[in-house]
Amino acid sequence: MKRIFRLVRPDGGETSVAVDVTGDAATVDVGGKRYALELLPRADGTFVALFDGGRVLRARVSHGKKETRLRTRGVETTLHLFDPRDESAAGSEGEGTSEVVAAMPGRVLEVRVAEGDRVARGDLLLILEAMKMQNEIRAEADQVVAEVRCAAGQAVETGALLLRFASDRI
Amino acid sequence: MSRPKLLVANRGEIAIRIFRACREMGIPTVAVYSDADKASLHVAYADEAWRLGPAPARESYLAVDRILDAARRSRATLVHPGYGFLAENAAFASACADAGMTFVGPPPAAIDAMGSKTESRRRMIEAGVPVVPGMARGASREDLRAFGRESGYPILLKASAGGGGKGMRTVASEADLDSAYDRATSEAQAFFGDPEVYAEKLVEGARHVEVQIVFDGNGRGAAVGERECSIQRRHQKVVEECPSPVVDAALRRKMGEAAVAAARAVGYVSCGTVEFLLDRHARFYFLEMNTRLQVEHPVTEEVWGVDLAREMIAIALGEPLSFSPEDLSPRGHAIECRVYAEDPDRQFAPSPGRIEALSLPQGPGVRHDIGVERGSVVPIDYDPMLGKLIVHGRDRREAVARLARALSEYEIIGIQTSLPFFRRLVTDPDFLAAAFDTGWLDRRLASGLGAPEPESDDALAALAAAVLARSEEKRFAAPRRGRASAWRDAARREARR
Repeated sequence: MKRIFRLVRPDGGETSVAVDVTGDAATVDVGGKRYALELLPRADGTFVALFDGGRVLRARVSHGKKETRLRTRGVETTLHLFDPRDESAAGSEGEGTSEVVAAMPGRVLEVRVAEGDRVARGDLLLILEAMKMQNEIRAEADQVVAEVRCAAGQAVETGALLLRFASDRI
Repeated sequence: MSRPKLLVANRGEIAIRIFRACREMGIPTVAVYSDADKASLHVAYADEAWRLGPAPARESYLAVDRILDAARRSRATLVHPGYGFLAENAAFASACADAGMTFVGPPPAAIDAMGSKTESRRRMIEAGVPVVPGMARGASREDLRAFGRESGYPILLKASAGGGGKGMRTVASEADLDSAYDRATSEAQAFFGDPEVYAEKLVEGARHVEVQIVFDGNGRGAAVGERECSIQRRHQKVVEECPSPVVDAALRRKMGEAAVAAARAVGYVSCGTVEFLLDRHARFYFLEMNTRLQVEHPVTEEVWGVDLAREMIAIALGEPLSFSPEDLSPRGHAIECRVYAEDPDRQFAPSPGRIEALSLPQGPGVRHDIGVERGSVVPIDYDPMLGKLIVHGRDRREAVARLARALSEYEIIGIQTSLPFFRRLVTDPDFLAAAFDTGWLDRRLASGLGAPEPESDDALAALAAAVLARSEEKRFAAPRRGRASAWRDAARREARR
């Protein structure tokens, strides 16, 4: 699978990042510099990357709406990595909402998405138990989860913010 | 005496530290806890645990009656206060004795004598322990002028009835004396209902160096080296070292003798710490005595090879010192970092919450005294210290390198911690050169503690882009619509990793 990202440098300059990933192997072109690497996911949520040429990097990668953060050996690096498709706002069916709030007091039973996840219209987002009923809350549009503000087991009040989506629809 | 059993009237890492000593000594342990701490690590570590009450400290860890009640019900014979909460509370020490239990700490009279600044200052002068040059209380404007001329400026005006920095004024020269006197007296009147002020010489560029002392019940006592605690943020210690980089063997002996004399003057028994200000000319002055086990005791343990927590319990059981003072010698250098649930990027604001992941550094010379584990919830109700990272090396240079290496391995996810601050600190030239006084860190933080820019590295961008694309590929491998299946759930879990 091939993807192109846009990397905005701290000085404002832009670089194109082309990724070709098959399973755990990837080749990445960052502004003409080519990297081949293998990604080994770890149980603690980090990735170990084995690069062609022998280099090893272990990183925790968290993708936010505006930035991607990497932590390696305790040092945090913030990257501005964008998907041009996110910015083109090519519409799909459904209006979608910018956030999901609790319609009544209850308890979050399950959260099926994480920050940075892309969801399609109709995908299950979370299950909320209220008034002894289990309510499935589903995506109304193709969207990207920007923020998860609840966790399984958590009690919530009416109007509590549960999820936020990135402002641009896919 | 019946078979010993020890209750720790505290929580977190210090409770666990004391339980560890007990387990090595074969002494059963009793934890107490508030409702906020039922699921905490110190409860899980103990042999028994008793509930005190709701989360607020007033109704739990400071509630003397409830603690004594738990001690009675558990048939504890020893009560250890840890640090903070009821440590250094003479009434609590007395109440334990009245209830038939042994308080693990000094006699109430020694706690009392050292609890008052003016009283302890008077006793130290009598005992020949150097104190900051100053005047007897109650000074007129003319007395102060005479004192300033005699001792030289700058001087420090202090409220006789004061404390906590209120009514305190630094006077740089005689020209400033009149206005400083007016403000100090009116502040003293406002805060303490007593306008009286006195003056001390201001010790400029001073370091905070403290001496560990241990006394047994037979009056045999020893100084167990010193600790350098000058790295402070708003008067709170952040990093401690043993030995002090500026104390040589001769000064160590002199400070040790003064500390032993100070402890003897108040009839001290148990472990304790005598704090001194040390000026640029190797002159030292008594500051105060902490009549308890201190947060930073591990650096002394690492360098001097004495288990202070164990020693303290053994002394409470009536045993003599476990070592001959003349046999003690320091080995290498130790540094401790207090790891707090605080956000260094937001003025060290507390950051309570759940610890989602925790990787502790390992390897040579690394020790953790820590009160949390993965899944622990850091409550908002108490001091946000999670624990301490302690490193040891054969000299300061090796200890600093180990500290930097250990910090690169340390990861706490879910809450903000002071770890990023320590990573910046260990690259600071002044820290590396041990060139600091008690005001250094606050000045450094005000001017911006140097954060070395990470080198631009496109391999990181390649890694991030690969992770992003990989998670999407996993997503497309699963059906996007329709009935949820185990297969799809598995793919989703994978995609979220």
